[in-house]
Amino acid sequence: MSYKNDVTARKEGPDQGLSPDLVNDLRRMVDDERARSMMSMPSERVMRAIRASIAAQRATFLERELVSWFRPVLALGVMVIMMLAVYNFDLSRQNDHPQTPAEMVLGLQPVTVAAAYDIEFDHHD
Amino acid sequence: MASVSKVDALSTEEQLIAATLQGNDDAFRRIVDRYMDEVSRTVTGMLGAGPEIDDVVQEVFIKLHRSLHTFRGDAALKTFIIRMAINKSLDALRKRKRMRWLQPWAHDDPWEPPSEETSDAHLTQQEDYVHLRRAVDQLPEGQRAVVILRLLEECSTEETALILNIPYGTVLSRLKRGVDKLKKHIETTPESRRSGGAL
Repeated sequence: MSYKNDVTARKEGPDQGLSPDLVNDLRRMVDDERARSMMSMPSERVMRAIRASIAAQRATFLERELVSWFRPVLALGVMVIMMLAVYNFDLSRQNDHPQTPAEMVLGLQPVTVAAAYDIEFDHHD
Repeated sequence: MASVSKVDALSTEEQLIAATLQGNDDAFRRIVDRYMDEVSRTVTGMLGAGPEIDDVVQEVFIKLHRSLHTFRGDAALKTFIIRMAINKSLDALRKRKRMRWLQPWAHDDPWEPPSEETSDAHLTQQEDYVHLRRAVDQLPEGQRAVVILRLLEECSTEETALILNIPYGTVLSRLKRGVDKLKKHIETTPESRRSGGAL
């Protein structure tokens, strides 16, 4: 590992007062740690990571775009469901049969024992 | 405007930046090659040996790639990159602290990959490095960053002040205090007393 200056050759300024041994030991220690910690071909791995990061960024962008496109569809869907619920509720109130609120909102027909055994299916008022 | 169609080993930083901004992968690879040493040394100096060094170095270059368009050229590219390396290292240190808080049972022994060399000289040297690393790890983040930049990266006091965005005088005082603490810690280790040296 190369350094610009060997600390033994460097003139110590007023802001330094450093022991050359300390500086050189620090450098050797970091070089040793780096050799033990870094895997081979770091630049190659960095470039691969950057390509993966760009791909992930593109995926996130696409995701955001899709969400923005589907947001109005989602809002419209919710509105249609609400309108249907109100319509069902309104229609169910006109029935004489007692119904639970869930049945009214969902527009379920009242099922009674008599109605279940009513064989005249085509009979309507 | 610099030519961006082709870059080579002699291309200037401005040419490499311009080519990278136009999507030239080769140009960015050359920037990575030029600054890999500085970045990996700074990150290792701040964090010590460990499996996360590789990840932090990668994060620095990924961040550089994303934010290269914000580089205005007011300072040297090295200053821009080393600042990112310091910031990412500080993030990693904070993450380490959080993990230590979340997992207090995890031991604090220095990370040691398997080594085949077991000679006495090598073992003594490794022991010295462990003591020095402990001394560096005991420095507050600000002092550690100044010590790493000034002693390891050989940045000038002005460059260090610019990178860390602190006043010139603060660099001097942090360096003084940091070096004093290092010396004090090293002098108190049994090995140092035995050998009578700085380390």
